[in-house]
Amino acid sequence: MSEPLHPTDFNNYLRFLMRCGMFALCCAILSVPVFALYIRQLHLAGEFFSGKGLAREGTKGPIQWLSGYYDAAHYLKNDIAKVTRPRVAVIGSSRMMQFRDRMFNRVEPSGFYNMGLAALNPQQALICLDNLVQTGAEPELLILGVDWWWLQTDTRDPGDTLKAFWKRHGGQRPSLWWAKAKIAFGFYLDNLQLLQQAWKDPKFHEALRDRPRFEERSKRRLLGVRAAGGGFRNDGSFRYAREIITPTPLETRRAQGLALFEAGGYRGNLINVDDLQDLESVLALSRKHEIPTIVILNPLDAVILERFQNFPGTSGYWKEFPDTVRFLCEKYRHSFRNFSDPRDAGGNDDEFIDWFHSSDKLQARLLLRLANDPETGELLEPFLDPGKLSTDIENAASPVDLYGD
Amino acid sequence: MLFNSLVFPAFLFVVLTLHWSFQEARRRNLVLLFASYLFYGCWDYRFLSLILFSSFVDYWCGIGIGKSTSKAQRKRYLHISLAVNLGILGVFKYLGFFAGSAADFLRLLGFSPDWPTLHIILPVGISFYTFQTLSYTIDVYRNRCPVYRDKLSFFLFVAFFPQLVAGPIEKANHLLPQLAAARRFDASLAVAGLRFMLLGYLLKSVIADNMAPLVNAAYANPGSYGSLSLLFATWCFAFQIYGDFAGYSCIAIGVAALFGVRLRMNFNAPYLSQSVREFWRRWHISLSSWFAEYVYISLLGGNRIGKRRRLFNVVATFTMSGLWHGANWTFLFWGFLNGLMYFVRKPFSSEARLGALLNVVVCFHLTCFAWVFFRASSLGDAFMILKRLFSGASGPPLATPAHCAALAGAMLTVFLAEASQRAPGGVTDLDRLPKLARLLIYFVSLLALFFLGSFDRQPFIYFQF
Repeated sequence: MSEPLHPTDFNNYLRFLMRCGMFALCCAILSVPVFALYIRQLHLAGEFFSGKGLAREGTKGPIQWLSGYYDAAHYLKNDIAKVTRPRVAVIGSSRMMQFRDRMFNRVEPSGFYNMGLAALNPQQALICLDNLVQTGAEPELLILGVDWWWLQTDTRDPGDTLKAFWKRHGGQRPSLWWAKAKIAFGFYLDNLQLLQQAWKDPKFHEALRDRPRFEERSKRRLLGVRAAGGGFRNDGSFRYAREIITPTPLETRRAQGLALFEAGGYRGNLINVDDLQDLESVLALSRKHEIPTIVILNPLDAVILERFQNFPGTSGYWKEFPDTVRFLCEKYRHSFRNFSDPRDAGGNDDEFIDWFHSSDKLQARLLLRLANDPETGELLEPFLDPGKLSTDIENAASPVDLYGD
Repeated sequence: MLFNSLVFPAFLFVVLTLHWSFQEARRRNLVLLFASYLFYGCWDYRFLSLILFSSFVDYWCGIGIGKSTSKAQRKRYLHISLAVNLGILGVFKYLGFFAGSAADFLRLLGFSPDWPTLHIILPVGISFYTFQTLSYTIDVYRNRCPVYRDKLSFFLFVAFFPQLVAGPIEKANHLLPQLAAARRFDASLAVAGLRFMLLGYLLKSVIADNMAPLVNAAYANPGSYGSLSLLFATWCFAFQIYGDFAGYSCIAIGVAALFGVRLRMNFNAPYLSQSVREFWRRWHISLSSWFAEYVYISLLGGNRIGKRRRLFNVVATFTMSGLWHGANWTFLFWGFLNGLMYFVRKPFSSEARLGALLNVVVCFHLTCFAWVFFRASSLGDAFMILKRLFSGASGPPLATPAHCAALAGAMLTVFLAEASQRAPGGVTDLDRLPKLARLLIYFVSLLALFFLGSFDRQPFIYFQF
């Protein structure tokens, strides 16, 4: 057993690898015509655009983009924001998606970008801001939406406390390269899945065949297999295709949210220390680069909010969560406003898309409250005229549609 | 780490390169052993201690049997090995089931047992590696296998990652000498290995994983579907479990071949069988032969003790093999059913092609009848499914006609592909074709895998055993 073996085993293995490589190369060459044609068709349907490409398409006219098989917002929106270099940037989850460029009526449309949906947790928010800062695209105003699930947990892993301790006493901002690499890897994997699945999806064929009709209907250039049902506008805000989607009644929306909660969603009475550290890093980074920042807690359905605040498995968290965020904002001298209850934004439960996504009208109301607030109004003053915004709200097309587009 | 995960190809490449970069066989085995523990540890690192313990016990028992001077002493070591391995299996796999069943029985009698419900995590692959190590100690005891004193080879025999979590269950006499010997890199074996892997991934991703959603939908809510839908879902399950398990075995055989190790074939076109008896010579061959050799013949006496006793032995062996599959009354009943069906003769003469084809159809449906129990979540559900199947119950369609046609086409393709094989392990038939034709087949297969495969990460079914 201990005798050395013939030395050509490794050489034979390498030769075998080379043969496999040659075979793989032949397969790749043979499949070029098939994939070239297929990818061209997908591109015609509006897929396989880079962030730069989408930004460029946005300069040609109104667009509505939504990639078919993946949540590309993390990757593409970061890319687009680096290209557009907005003066006013919005960072957060999908609950921030309804802030529109037209609301910031003192800024040219290209000076606003909504990165809503690109940050589903504090680390992703940190990546969004870090990307802007690293490329010298610091905005003049940042509006950051913090969601309740960002810090919520029902367990406290001893490792969380240690990690937070290390980060704090190590004096270093957490390294984001791994998180960014994962997002990029996920994006390319999703492209692969798109290639794999699209050919058998009726929506793909529909997007190719009926695109002129859909674009005529939506009055926008549609980019993506699923863009006909809704997508991101030029400013990054999300457009629900009202021409084909009817709003869900209030009671149905509310029942959906309550059902999710009763099934065990959004539970936890503890603050996650690691996520808290990431949120602090976001605020510290924006302070370091002197970016005026307004941190908000977005509205959710008042009945569901009350359930969260009174349920034993979540009430402790809901007592602690807003004050925790407020404390961090005060520490880094940023403004904080809690609009969890829609009435605090001057709105009501009718002005929601679903139980926790505000309509653009409700977001406009929230923005108006900020504009009329002495502290945050000063920050917003260069970017929006509250009078014009107020008029827009009064003339709103519907409870869930501010501009009717 | 699953064979069909993204990280596995990278893992395999690194291990292969390290393995063949060493010239000494001992170092190669060290690489393989470390890789095997890493592979297993990815499932749950806590159970590494269990596999190590099992390896130590059987290694020590093997040495002990070899050194023993009396039969009684040899038997003692054998009993220790049996007690430890079956004990571990019993505790982790069956304790909760038996405790729960006993509690249910006592409740039926009017008692109210107050013992806690046991939630014991089942270590992945435990049924496979305990049987594999048991085969070693039993064979050493029976002088059918020499004692292996080299710890490295033995521990690698227990933990060899291609077949660790879902077989094939290898006999010590077959696998240990290969691991202990100096292996050479054999390009033709490696190519055969890649072919097996390609076939395995096709069976798993294209066949099994595409059947899974339809089967899951039907069996999760069988009361909602009619007899035709349930029949179709059961056919789909027959191919899902075949694609899944045979696919895994093919990948395992292929991966082992890359390391210069030949594993035994585990499947031989089972759905071309003309009787249930023949089916069990072609399905999960390694397990069937394990039970045949160590339970049916050695423990129960086989067919040497008379007709009636033979009937009992066959049914008992199959029932136990059903229990091996899982701690549930459904598996027990499935095994029992197969034991009874073992004696069902071919209804038609197989001399004529039509007769043979009809026998195949009948056998397939007999196995599907049993598969209902294997797949259903409870005996009650299984009987309900069968009742709905035979009563012509109506219900909504399971899927669109196009989807059903595609799945039926997949089943037919598997049937025809296996029927066209002229030799067991038909992958080697490709050698008869010109090189260009072979390369074209591989290319088309890869395209089929990419475009038709389902990559939604369905786990391998037999991992739960």
